[in-house]
Formats: sequence, structure tokens, C-alpha cells
Amino acid sequence: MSNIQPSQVPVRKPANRRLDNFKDFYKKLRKNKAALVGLYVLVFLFFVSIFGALDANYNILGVNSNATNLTDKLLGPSAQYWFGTDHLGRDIFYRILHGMYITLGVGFAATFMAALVGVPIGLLAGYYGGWLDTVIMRLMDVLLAFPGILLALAIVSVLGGSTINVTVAIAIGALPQFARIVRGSTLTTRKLEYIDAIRALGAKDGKIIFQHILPNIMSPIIVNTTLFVATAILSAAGLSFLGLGVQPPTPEWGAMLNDGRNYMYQAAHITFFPGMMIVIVVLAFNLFGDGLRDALDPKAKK
Amino acid sequence: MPSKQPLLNVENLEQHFPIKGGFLGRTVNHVKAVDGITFSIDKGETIAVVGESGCGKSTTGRAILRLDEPTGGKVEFEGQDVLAMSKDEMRKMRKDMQIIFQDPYASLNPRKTVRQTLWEAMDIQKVVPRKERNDRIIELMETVGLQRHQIDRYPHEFSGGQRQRIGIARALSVNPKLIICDEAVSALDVSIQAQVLNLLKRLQRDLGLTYLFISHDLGVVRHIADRIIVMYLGKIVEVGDTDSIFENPQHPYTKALLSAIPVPDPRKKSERIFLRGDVPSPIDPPTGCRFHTRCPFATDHCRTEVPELEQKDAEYAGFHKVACHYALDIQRGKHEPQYEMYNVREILDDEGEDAATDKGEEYTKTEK
Repeated sequence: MSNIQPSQVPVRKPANRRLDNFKDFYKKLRKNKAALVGLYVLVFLFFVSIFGALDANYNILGVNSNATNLTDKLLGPSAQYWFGTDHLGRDIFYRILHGMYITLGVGFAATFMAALVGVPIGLLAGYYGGWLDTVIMRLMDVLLAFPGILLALAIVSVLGGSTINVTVAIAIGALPQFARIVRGSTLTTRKLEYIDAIRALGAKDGKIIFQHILPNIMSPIIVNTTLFVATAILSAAGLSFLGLGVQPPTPEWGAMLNDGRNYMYQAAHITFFPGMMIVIVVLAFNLFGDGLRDALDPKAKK
Repeated sequence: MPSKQPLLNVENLEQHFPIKGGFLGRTVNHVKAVDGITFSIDKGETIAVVGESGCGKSTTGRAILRLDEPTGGKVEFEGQDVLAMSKDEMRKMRKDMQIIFQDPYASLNPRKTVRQTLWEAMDIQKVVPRKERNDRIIELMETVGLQRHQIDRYPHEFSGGQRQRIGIARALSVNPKLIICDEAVSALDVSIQAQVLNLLKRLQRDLGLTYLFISHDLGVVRHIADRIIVMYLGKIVEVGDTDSIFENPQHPYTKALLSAIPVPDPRKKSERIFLRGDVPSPIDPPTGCRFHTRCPFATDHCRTEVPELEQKDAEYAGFHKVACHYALDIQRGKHEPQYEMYNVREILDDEGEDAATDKGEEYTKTEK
């Protein structure tokens, strides 16, 4: 019998796990064409919005999107004005381009704020349970009792209409949704044996919550976040449409819809184009969010 | 031989889970999962807890570790009262008591590699200086029979048996004195079971470990345990040295349990005792002896008076206690069953060699 040599199999250097995971995730996402389209539209719009955000004086691609030109007012789409002009003769195309960063910004900021507060709240309620859970979740129920847009309306009427107030109002409305989803996932994860094992090793609660539970419930949080951006954008546009959100002359899409309301019969394009853009952005987020949910669903793993 | 110095002493341990309900979530009732059990474990021995599912075996293990806070009783580890400890004292204490779980698929964090899992365990208890940790991790992996090159793999890249080994390595990483094996091998197939059991035995020999081995598999228990605790509905019905329990079971429940072990010999005629009915609800356990609802020997005395757990057989030199009023009388044939309890294999054999045991169950039922 020959001597058995120690294994000569080279120790495979563990490749970048995150990269591997991302590739795996992208592969799954690619199967869902609609989600992929959503992602590309979002990436495109995101880059466009950067241009809009660059200049506070409403200049974009050398054009002042806020410049009024009353001789050219209420013109339909043409080669010169791609999306036509509004009642003050402003170029709607450039205004939409400029307003992009406000729309996306409010959507992301509101969602981020809601997640920043809602996720820890949900983790605490789910992990500790008992009276803390009861108090937190009943508070969230109170918030949930108001329809989101009504709550935002009330908050904005109290705080006054501005971009930041709108963002805060929407974030508060979204809080219960985040807290509930995170609480639910925490409850199921907390019962798993590896959490018991780490408790039996004597880990502190903070370590268990943030290093063991949170990473394992990231999927629902990410999906919910993505889907909520769309809702936040709709709410922000709705508030601006009612005149309670971002104030004119800032080219916010909801405010632009409101501008065109009085000219619906003569110049429908004033309302059509901002409305279309809102639809596209919201649709893109929803498609991408749905695809994300499928791709991150652990049950769908091969 | 294990030295006779109690490592763990459990007295009257109680674990009652509240049932919330009714208006404003008041506590309506309690599930009496563990209802006053007393035992002790000596250093270096393996004590097994057996019983049907739902009898409180796992709850006992979890209560000792305070994974669920017990509602009553006393747990002493090396003379220290575990239940009276503060959160911080308890954290330090946990180094000495570890647990291996049943489900190797749920007991490892799917997002941590073996290295991370073991590193973290050592980090929490600060048992090994940072510089030596990597060496120690590799040493641990080799101890439990894993390859050194698997160190950066994630749990899903291992088989069930390998995962269970990682679980064992994690428990060992903090140099514990007592390991609670909560159905540690029941999720594994038989050949892997044997490997893991032998590993546990070897570790016990090398490291002087003490095991509290929770299992429903009597074959496994016979292989590994020095002493056995038989539980029924949150109470200990019989406790004794392994040989004594297997050779001379005194409680009718233990007899029924043991008679359920398949005998790998088709010619051997063995008695099979079939218990009637199901385990009663632990919310409202039967009065007196908890087993009386299913015990063929039960009398009115059993229904009213709770039997003490005590040594009955004075001639037996070893350790063997039983909680049954009639243990000795049954043994001496003085106390007859109140109804036909034996379903002897011979009856089955009349119907043909391949008559299945569940057919036998039907037989008793029709006879009722």
C-alpha cells in the first residue's frame, strides 16, 4: 500500500463573496426582463437628475429652465420645444429635466429617513417583545390608522410647505410599514437556533441584533425600500399638486401638473408630460422592486 | 469511572409557559412543560434524558442554560446558583456550559463562514488571544474531523453531518465543562450518527467533558449514556444507571418505551407493550401519577396520590429510582394489570411471519 499523501488540492482563495453574491443576484434578475428595464430606466434617470441638481439657478445644458418667455406661451411640442411650453412660456422639457432631482431626491430621502428610524424600531420591538413591543406597535398602529397621504397633508399643513417638510411628512407616514416588516422578520429570525447558539455563547444583545439578525433580514428591507420609493414619489407629487409641497417656481413635477390644470383644454401637453414622467418613474421602481423581490427570495434559490 | 463530584445540580426546576388570551392578553393558563424535576450530573459523566416528544426534554436543556427563563427551581453549576446570576455574570458563566442543537441546518448563521463563526465564539468569551485564534480554529476543525481548507466556507457548502461538526466545534471553542446535546444526532442518518457519537465520546475522554444528552433514540442513549432520566409530561418517572434501566425497567412507562425498540432478530419473540391514547395536555396534567391515564396498572390510588421518585429495589446496589406506587409489586407479580396490556408477538406469528406491528395495534384496539 502506498502512503497516502496529504491533499494537494490547492486551497481556493475565497473570492470576493460580495461580488459572487452580486453576480448571482444579477443572473437571477436578468431572467426578469421587466425588472431589468426598470433598473436601466432608473439608472438613466439617475444620471440625468445629476445634471439637474448641478445648478441651483435653473440652468441645464445651457438653458435656463425657469426663464419665462410670454411670447412663446402654451406652445405644443415642436422641434424647438420638445415637450412644448407652459403658460409662462417656459420650456417643459428642461423643467422636467431639472425637476428630476427633486422628485428622485424626495423619494429617496423620505424612504431613507423612514428606514433609518423604522428598521431599528422594528428590530427592538421584534427582539425584545413584551411591553416594549406592545407600546411600539400600538404607536405604529396609530400612525397606520391615518391614510398616508392624509397624514402627510396634516403634517405639511402644520410645518408649512417646503421640500424638507414634505420629505419628513412622507417619512413619518412610512414609518409603520418599515417597523412592521422588520418586526415580523425579526420575530421569525429570533427563533432560529443559531440565534440561540450565539446567546448561549454569551453575546450581548446589540451584537445579536445588528450582527446576526439584521444581515439575515436585509432582503425584505431592501425590497420594501425600493418599492416604497415609488410611493414616496407619488405622495410628494400629490402634495405639490395640492400646493402644499415644493413651492413654485421650483420645477417639481406635481407642481407642474397643477400649473397645467387650468389649460387642460387648450394645452393638454402641459399636464401630459409631467404626468407621463411620474408614471414612468413610479412604474420603473415598481418593476424593479418586484424583480428584486423575486431575485432575493430565498425560496427561489436553486 | 467518573469522579463523584456533582457538576450540575438541578432542583425542582419548573418551566411554565403562560398562555395569553382573552381580554387584553391576560394570562389564561400555563403550559407546564417542566414541572419540578430534580437531578444532578457528576463531572465527566453522560446523563441522557429520554421521553416522548413534548415531555419537556428540550425545555429542560434550554432552562438550564437560561435560553428560556425558568419559572421556578434551582440550577447550581459547580456550586454557583445559575438562576440568581445577573446578565453579566451569566455571560461569563456561559463559557462553561454549551449546547449543540438538533437541526444542523438552522443552528449555523448562513451568512458566516466557519472561520467567522468560531472566531466570533472565541471573541465573545475572550478565551484565546487574537494571534493564536487562527491556529486554534484549525485545531478545532481537525478535532471534529473537518479539513483545514474548508475554513472559509459557508454553512450551505457543507453536508448535514459536517454542519453538525461545525456546531460541535463552536461549542468546544470556548472550552466548556458541560455540553447539552439537544437531540444532537437525531437529524443525521445512521452512519453519520455513529461518527458523531464516537466523536462526542472521544472528546469526552480527551477533554473530560460532561454531557447532558437529550434524545428520543434509545439505541443511541444506550450507546453513550452512563445514566438515564426518563421523563413523562414534565416529570421524571425513572432515573438510573443505563444498564439497570435497560435490564430492569421498573416504571410501566419505561417498560413500554423499551419494548418499542426494534429487535433485529425475527425469531426472537419479544413482548410489545402498546400504550393507549395520547399524551395528555401539559396545560392540565392528570392528577396523581401523570401516567395513570395510559397505565394498564393504574388504580384509584394512582389517580389521587403523586408517587415519589425513590429507590425501590433495595437489593440493587447501583443507582435506580422510580416514581411508581406499584413498581415492586409489579415486578414480583403481585400487582396485575387492570386490563390486557401485553400484546405478545406470538399472537402475531399465528397470522403469518410478516404481520406488521401496526396490525398488532389494531388487534389490541379491537379487543378493547
